[in-house]
Amino acid sequence: MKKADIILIAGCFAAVLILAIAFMARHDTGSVADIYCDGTLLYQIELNQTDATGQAQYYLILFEEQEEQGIDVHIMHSEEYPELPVGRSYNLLSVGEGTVAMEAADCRDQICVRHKPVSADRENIICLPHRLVVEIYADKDDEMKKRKEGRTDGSEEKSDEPLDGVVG
Amino acid sequence: MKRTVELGFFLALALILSYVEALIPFSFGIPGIKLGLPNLIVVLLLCRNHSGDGSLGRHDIQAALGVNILRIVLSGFLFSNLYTIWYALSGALLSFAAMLIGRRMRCFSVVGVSVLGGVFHNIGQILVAMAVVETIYVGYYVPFLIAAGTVTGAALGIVAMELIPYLKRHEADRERRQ
Ligand SMILES: [Zn+2]
Repeated sequence: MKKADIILIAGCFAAVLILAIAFMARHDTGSVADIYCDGTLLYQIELNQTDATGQAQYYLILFEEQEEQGIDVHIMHSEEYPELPVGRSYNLLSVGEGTVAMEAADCRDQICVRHKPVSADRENIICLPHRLVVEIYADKDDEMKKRKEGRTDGSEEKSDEPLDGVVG
Repeated sequence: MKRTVELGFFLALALILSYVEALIPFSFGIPGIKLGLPNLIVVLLLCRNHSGDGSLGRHDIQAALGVNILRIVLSGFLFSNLYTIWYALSGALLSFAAMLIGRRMRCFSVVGVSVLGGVFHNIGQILVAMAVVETIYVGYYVPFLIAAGTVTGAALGIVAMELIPYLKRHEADRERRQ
């Protein structure tokens, strides 16, 4: 090992520390969870609402391949753990006490299921195979979110990339 | 011919490491983080002739880049699918560029080169992930990506550092026999 190696490693850890502190400093709790597919906002879940009952709520996101326009997405809300579909792509979210978790998914890599539950502003869970993003916002009318929505308004191109797990 | 055999050997090793890596969950739920075990082979190929003036031969660059691309394409076909190949290639190429620059700078040892590879691999993959899902607050993952890349890169770099003397001794033995 050379001196430059030590400097590089130390520099990386310094950068990690500074960035981590910077993010922690603005660690606001989230009030809304947005669900995006292919960059388009599909659904908003109010996080504070669920606290009234204290019970977890479940959101089952179902993907269906359309013949012409790519992918159709349905979101089903239920109070109990739903039955998982067979032969259709899905992601299952649970929402409770201001926290969103990916309970199950049939995606190939299962990376999203392994993600820790999210609750703070701008934390997110990504399911890359399904092109799905769940993102937390502190403020319902976040600046960046508005920009994102404004951008996606104009372009309605859908990809024809097949979702894995879809049969037939 | 001798070089072809040797490259085939390194490629096979990289594929085995790809397979082992696919068995170990190490993502923490963040797309883009990888242990980078196959990168050990690329680091070895880039850094094994590190003695003397520290120059890097064209053959070494070609060998490292060739093994890097082939192991991704082959392991993609063997263990996953086409879409994963594009995704993995971008991370690997960014990482390769960073390692090549690090190697050319001559101030780093194997460990430094490997750390650069680990960090830039993770950053490259998350950038693709961002492009695929469109937008997203990238910054949130960056500290994790740098930390994971540094730790895995340093660990693999130390392994490479220990292995290089053996490779050199083998090379010397072979030349003596001829
Ligand atoms: Zn997933």
